[in-house]
Amino acid sequence: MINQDLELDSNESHLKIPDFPWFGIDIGGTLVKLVYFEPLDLTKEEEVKEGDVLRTIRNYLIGNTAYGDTGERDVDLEIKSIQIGDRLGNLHFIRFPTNQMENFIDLCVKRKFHELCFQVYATGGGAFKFESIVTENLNLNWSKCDELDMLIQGVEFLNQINKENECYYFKIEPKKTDKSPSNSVSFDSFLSSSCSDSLSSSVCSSSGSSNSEYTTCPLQKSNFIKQNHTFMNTYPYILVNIGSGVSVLLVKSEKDYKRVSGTSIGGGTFLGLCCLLTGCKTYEEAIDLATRGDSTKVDKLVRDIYGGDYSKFGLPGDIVASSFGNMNIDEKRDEATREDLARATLQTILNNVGLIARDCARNYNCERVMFVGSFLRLNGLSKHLLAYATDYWSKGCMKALFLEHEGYFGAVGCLKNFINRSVIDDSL
Amino acid sequence: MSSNEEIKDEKSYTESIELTQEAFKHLENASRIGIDIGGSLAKIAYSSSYEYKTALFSDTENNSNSIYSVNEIKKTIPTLNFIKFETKYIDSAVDYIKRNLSSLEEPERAKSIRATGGGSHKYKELLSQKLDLEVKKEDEMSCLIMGCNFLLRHVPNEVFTIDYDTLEYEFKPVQTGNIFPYLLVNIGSGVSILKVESDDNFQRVGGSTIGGATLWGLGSLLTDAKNFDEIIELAEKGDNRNVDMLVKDIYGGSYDLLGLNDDLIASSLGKTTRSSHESVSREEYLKKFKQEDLARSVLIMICYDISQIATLHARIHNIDRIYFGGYFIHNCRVNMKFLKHGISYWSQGKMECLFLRHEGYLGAIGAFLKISQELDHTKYSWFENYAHSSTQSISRKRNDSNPFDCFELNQEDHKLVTCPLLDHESYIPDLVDLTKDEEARSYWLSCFERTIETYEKQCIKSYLEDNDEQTLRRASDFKKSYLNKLNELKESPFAFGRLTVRSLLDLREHCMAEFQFFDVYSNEKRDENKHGLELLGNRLDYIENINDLNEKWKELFRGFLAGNVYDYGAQSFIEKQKMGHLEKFTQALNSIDDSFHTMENYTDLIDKLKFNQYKCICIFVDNSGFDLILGVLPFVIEILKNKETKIILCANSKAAINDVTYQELTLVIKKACLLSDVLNDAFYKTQNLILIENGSASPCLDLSRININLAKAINFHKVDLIILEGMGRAVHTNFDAKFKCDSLKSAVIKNKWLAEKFKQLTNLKDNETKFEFLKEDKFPVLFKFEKFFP
Repeated sequence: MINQDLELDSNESHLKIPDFPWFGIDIGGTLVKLVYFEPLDLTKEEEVKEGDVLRTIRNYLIGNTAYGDTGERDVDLEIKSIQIGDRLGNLHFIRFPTNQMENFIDLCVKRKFHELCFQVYATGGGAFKFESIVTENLNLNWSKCDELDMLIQGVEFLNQINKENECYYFKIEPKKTDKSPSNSVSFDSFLSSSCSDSLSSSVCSSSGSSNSEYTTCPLQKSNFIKQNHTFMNTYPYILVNIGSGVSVLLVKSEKDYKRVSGTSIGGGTFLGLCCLLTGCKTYEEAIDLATRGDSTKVDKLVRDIYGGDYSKFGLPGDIVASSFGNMNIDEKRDEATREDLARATLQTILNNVGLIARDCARNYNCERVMFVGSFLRLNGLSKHLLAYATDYWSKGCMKALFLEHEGYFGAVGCLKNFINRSVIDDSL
Repeated sequence: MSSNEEIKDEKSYTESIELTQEAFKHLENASRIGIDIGGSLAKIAYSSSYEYKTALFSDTENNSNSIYSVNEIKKTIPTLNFIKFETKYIDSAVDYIKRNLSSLEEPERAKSIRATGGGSHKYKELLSQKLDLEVKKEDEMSCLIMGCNFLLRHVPNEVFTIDYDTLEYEFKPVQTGNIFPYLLVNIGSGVSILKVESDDNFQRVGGSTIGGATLWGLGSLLTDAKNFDEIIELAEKGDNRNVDMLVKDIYGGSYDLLGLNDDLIASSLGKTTRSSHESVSREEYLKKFKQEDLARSVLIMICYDISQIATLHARIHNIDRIYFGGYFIHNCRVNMKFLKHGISYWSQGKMECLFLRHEGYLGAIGAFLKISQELDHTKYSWFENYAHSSTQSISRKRNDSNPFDCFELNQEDHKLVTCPLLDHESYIPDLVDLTKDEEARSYWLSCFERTIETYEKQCIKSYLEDNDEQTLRRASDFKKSYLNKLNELKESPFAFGRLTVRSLLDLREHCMAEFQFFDVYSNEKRDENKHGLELLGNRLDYIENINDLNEKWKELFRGFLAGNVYDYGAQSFIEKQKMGHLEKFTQALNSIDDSFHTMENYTDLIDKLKFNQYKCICIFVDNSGFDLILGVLPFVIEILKNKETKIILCANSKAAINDVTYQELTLVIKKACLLSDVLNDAFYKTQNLILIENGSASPCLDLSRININLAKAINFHKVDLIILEGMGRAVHTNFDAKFKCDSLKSAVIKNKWLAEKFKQLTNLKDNETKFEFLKEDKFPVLFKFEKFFP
């Protein structure tokens, strides 16, 4: 695997590479994910051929990190100087809310993109929902791709491109009572309502002010040390895609997979509930609230019911018995803050996803569960919760894996197929 | 994680209430008590007993006037009583128990109370102080499982599932000998999933924190509902599609191309995310959505989540029966509906989503059983006393005028088991399910209502000697009680399980017994037995003089059928009898449609009988008098002549209408032996004639519950033909019963509605059953011989 150019099957590699621009798009229930390949090796001839419009697109996309009010480019995720389909370039990752899709199209028209005719591979429900409006307004050749195919292929593809840097897990170590080692990540801050640190990245070394009186959450007792994982040894694994809803797939190989489960309790539920319960407006705000909240004010714990552990079934008193279980009590409801409610919402949803993922893994004898999806964006807390839950409930038998490009795999899958299949299309 | 504890506002308050014997039946005789105290409901279980009157029959050789004498004796019947009420009445309840338990002997008291449930530690002191008893706390989950096993084994019609569209209960037969393994999903505050493999072998295999309190908590945060039931009421009215992001919302109009379900939810509450431009407050934002829609979305989300997790566990453990319990379920049809839908969705219809009628009592029954280990299921059987059980147990709403829900089981005199020759895999005793068939339900309910006068009169008549004020009052109380129950059943037809003609008949017997009326036809039966015995000699001679063997068998079966006309359960018989149309047996012979011998395999039956091909014939007999003596006995005697075939006659253990009881049967056979040497030899010498009580007290017959001694005899004597006689045993029940031997179902259909209904039903079910119905002025008959092909 020395050659970066691995995504094209060898028997097709002699075929013509499609013209620029190269996009892949995934239109989900909440977010639109766009990947764009910026060529670095354009010949003079190509630059002429490229023309003004295409140049404008390129310059607009790479010259900005924010587009309009809501569009954003995830600069941290950019993959620089890679070779795809014989071309050298940078891979960019851009997102905006699905409810801005029509504004996006207007913007494209305004910038005269409709004068260009090119092909785009699209996936996600929006590939169907927006097909007519896109093709009516823009001069695109719109190819719809299966969501799950694209997801799996995207995961595979990015792991090949990004090698050791894509996949990782958390080594969970019980925290010593004294100062944490400097290279480890401490998450006291998640538990302490007095800590106002907002978490902006999955790698957070802020140890916060450890004045928390909560010893209830096991997260506080653990250090999470991020470790790289070699993707090649992963099969078979359970792939959990947490978007608006959640899909659970059993992946035996790139070609051999099936959707085995899913749940409607996902990212959309998190944000929806947070909006209703806390009045927050954005995902970022909701995550920020959750980071500072304390779910034990909201949930009912085992000891709230049994006065201690329920030892017959090995349930410690400090684990949650019932999510939101204290919120039927007026006084407790008055005491719970927005932060507490957001935190409880997050934990409820992740616990549930973790539980379903674990039970699916048991059903299909998998030791690894890989969590992806835009919901994990900016969300170190969630990843630690999932890592901890997977480890705890499987008694250490299962490992939770994560990928750096959380929500972009569907779009990447489209890009890969665009390069592959348009080659085939052209040759026909 | 779960708890059966029902939550309520933590402020605990109690309310006093006047308690009566109505609620705490037989408490004065109570010996052991189990209590399950939840946050909102308390459940009490105790064992007790009551005395009831019954008849003792004895030979009277010197009394020429009657063939035997009937005396009243008292018998004690052990009971199990269960009461459910709101925890706020716990003080009053405990006070009442204290007042009425004073008689309890000292050594008994020390070991006599067990408590479970989330509230048990809170009320432990109250209980032990007031009752001066040591209260021991029992583990909640093991109590649930013991309670569940007990209900599955002992209470018929306990298990049901719900119809997604009509929300009607659909009762499921339970193989009482084969109840394991199953999953018990207890949805209290949280969810516990228990795998139960045997009485002693069970474990908590999983759980979820998203349970009943999650619905309550989120419901309280998102709506103005004051309590759990109000959230349910909101959810019943809402439309989740306004707040849930559906697959079609993501895919646009194209979802149908993908073969996806219209209403498939992609993201629960996914439509409630707000755009960053909106600047309204949280409260104002929340008002944009209907509370009903939010409540329904949360409810569906929780039900689907629980059913998904339950299905995953069932698959891991290779189990296909999933029972749900806990206060989240408690008679709440909308929750059951979505759980059912969830289970069939996630398991692709491969797993059963089951509920229990007495789900609320699981913990209390279990706590009680901990101190009542002698309630060995291998030794005792129980029946549900409908008169002492309330119908409101299946309604979620509390009835304020009667806040105590009761459920009573009475011990059967015999251990009851499934008939060994019954093909029991899919056995459902009853022909018509009145819970499903609305037309049939209203017919039968009004039919039983109309005929209540007859029974009231009969009750009074049977106590002619002491026809005083008190008897009249008892009779009218009986009538009132029965009519009340009928009215309640109109409201909730599922209260006692599958509503059937059998359960309505049993209910009537239970109501009569409640007011100390027993065997109200005993005098009529005695008179008719006497009359029958007087005519038996002539009838036997008449048959003996038929030379043609085929004609002889035909006459025997004609008599067999004609006897069945004499049935006090049938209004048309009572009318004809009043007009003197059935004084003579020949009138009965002429009153039936006698085309039975044209039945398809009639000759097969006759051939097998002619050539003595049966080892042992087991006959479930019906009525006293002409039916037994002039109908059944000549047939029995003819068979016994060959000395190669044995006969088991089985009669009811207890009285029901004019059905012959085992005691009466024995006396009648002894008298008949004086008239027939064949009978005499068979009964006293060769023992080719065997009399056994069937364990039943009903005009109908549930073959999954027969006296264990009868079952043993059926095996021992290698019964190879079963004859079921009468409308109750061969039509209302067992019409569809299949046996692992030959069988004959024989009855005179004395009810026009039933004849018509029956015609429809049999045409639907089985094209091969051809028999003529309703020839002018003749009772149609059922005469159905089914050969067994191994």
